[in-house]
Amino acid sequence: MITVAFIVLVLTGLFVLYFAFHNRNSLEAYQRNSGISLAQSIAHSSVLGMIAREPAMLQQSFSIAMNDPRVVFVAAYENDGSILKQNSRVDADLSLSTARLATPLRATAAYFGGTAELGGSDIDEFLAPIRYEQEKELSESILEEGVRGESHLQTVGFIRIGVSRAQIKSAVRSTVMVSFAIGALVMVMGMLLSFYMSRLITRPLKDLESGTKRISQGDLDVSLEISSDDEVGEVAKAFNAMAGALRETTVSRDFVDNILGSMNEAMIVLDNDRKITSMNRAAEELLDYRASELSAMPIDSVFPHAEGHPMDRRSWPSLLAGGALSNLHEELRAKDGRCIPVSLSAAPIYDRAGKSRGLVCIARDMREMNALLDQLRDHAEELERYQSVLFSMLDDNEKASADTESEREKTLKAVDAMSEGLIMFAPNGEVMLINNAAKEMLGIAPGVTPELQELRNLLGGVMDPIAHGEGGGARLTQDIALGKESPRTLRFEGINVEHEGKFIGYMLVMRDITRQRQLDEAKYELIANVSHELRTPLAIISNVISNALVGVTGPLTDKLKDGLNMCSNSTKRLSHIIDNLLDVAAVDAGKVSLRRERVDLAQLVKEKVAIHEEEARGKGVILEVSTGAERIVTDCDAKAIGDVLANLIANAIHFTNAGGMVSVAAARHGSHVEVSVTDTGVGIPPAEQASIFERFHQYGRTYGPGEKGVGLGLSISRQLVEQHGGSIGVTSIVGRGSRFYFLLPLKDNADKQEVT
Amino acid sequence: MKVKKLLIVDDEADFLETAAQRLSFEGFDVVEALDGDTALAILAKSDPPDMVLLDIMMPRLNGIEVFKKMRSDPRTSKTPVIFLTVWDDLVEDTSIRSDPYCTTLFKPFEFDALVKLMQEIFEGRWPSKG
Repeated sequence: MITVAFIVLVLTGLFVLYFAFHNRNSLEAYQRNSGISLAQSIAHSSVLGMIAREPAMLQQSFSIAMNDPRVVFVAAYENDGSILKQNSRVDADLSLSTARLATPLRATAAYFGGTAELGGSDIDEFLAPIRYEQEKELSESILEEGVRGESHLQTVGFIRIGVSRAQIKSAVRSTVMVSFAIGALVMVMGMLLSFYMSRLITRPLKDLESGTKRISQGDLDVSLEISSDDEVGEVAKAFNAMAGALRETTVSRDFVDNILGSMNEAMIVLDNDRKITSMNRAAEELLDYRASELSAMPIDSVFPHAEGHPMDRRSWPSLLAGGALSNLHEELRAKDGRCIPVSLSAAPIYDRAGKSRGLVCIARDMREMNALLDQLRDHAEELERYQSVLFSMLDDNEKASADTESEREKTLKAVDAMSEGLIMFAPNGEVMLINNAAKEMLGIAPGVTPELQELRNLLGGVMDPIAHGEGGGARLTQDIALGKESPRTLRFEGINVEHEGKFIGYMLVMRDITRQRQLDEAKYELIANVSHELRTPLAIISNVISNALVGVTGPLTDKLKDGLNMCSNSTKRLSHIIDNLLDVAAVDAGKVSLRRERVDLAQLVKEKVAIHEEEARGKGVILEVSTGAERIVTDCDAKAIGDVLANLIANAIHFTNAGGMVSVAAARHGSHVEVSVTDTGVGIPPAEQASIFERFHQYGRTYGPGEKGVGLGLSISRQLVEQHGGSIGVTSIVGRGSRFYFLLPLKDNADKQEVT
Repeated sequence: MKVKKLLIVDDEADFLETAAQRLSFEGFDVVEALDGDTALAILAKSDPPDMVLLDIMMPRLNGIEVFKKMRSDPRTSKTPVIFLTVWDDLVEDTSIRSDPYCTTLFKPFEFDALVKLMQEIFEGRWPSKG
């Protein structure tokens, strides 16, 4: 475009120069001709004036000359060079040197005298001799017949006029300017015209180009405007036909992208060379790569498989030739090197011609599944049998092959054959699985999957965590008595299945403990009766010994007193053992039902410490409360928790030597309250710590003379604390002391905490 | 200070005797009853005891029934009662739990503890019913 403009500019310049030159030449010629004739005519009319040497006689012709605005000056010279008359528009010396006189005086006609500068302006000079005809003398005429009648022309002076060249200059200038203006106008118009013309031609081509690009990027909704019937218009028509055909015959890429994007499974497409060509959003998230980062990378970079694997380089051709992989348990490697367990399926892709185009791999993230399974394993080893059931359940929306279907049937049968009832809930409360044992225990007809509400009505509190959609936080154990005609007791254990802090399901395992409970009740009755029968004589023995020791029955010898003291201690121990046996039996038989009420644990700690103050003082042990003024209110059975606390305080005082210290504290720890009893006593060896809460475990700690541990107190304490949904534990260093603590949940009443 | 009169009720003669012995020794005026009916007869007399120590598991009329009858009589409706019993479900009875003038001590017990408890009750200080 610039080249064209430049050429037009140069041509215009040349044209202007030519036009100005031509114009100037013709003006020059005109000026000369008119100047010469003007000078000639003045010379003619000045003859008489010159002869008479009378300037006034020249006046008329001079005036005529000066009427012409181009004439700068007019002067009449005599032969000797003197000026007879002059008229001038400029103040200039018009005298001529002698040398310059010769030419006009010899001339026979007017002529152009050259260009000069006069008074600041350029002028053309024209000179014309003033001549008159003088008859030859007669004598001469007679003598010379031949020349008779011939006239003789005599020069009496000459006329000199100056004509301004300004007009020529301005004419040339205006010519050039006009020419340039016309040239520029022509050029601009030409350029606009050419631009318009070129646009007219190139725009459809551009549209065609961008349309092609868009189609190549998968946008098939392209249509071109057909604005002409020329060749370009024909191409546009053909293009639109092509795009239309593509739209009709090909599934829109957007549509496919949406499908792939919404897939939960990771999808990776490989070309024939095992290189990654594309992957979906799920794959990007799973592997923590962007699709562009893995583009053209070999599959090995995210799938470090062993040699001999079907996707191995060697086995690759046969895989492409018609093999397929189905639900292989493999591991993919994420960007940061993490190995991600997946269930991998793959199938080759063929084009219409049946030619292999690569492989599409679908990987299902098995981490949550595996975490779920890990938790199931943690809970009970037999639950491992459910693994394949869970797999097949999660594979529900996948095309199940005959193999997996039968596998699923098999495992479902295994679950149904279990003696424990099992219900699996999805996070939304939907029942994912319920086995036959569970249905039988709950009185649900076989083949029916109960609704959440139905189970809630049946099971009440056990279902709360599920109904709230986020589990109960901790493991839940609860016994529920069901049925009126043939009552049965079921023990429920609810487990939140969580993965990376996310609640992914809830599992309820139930055991029919009716028979066990009946046995426990029988045992309790026996122990209650026996202990009743034991206590009465024991009370009498105790009374007699006590009475004797205080002197009710008269004076005692020292030896008798020692013996009675021994009897007294033994009856106390016996009494304590009976108490504990009864407590254990009562808990086993479900006789101890918690009477929950709002209890300020800080206050309870103070009360229990006050009760033991005298005992501690008697032993020389410092007993202190290290609890603040803040109230710690929780729902619990004050008597049960008070007993636990009293048991721990009594033990601590018991196992701490004089000069030692026992400190009791209650404090909030997140969603729990922790009550602790710390002593500076003898301590418990690590090996003993684990079994110290077991029933009938004998304390490893050293007793005082004549004393022996009971072995039931801590076991009952644990039962009571766990019945509250809490936990109990100990940390200890031999020779330094022990710290017993128990945690009770605050969660249930976190919203109504009171602080004073 | 006037000597406090106690009624002690227990179907176990040896227990009754040893307990009465000791409480007399401790300075109380002790009246004994081997069953509920006897106890109620004593309570019906013109000079009722200042406190009743009551066994629960007794043939015919048990301690709870004696207690309820006592409470229905205006003269003994506020007489302090200490149930002296072996471990027994009946202590959970609502009439015991809700009555402000009774408490429980399990057998076997230390007489020192019993005497201390009695003194506190006579002074108007009742242990809390945890």
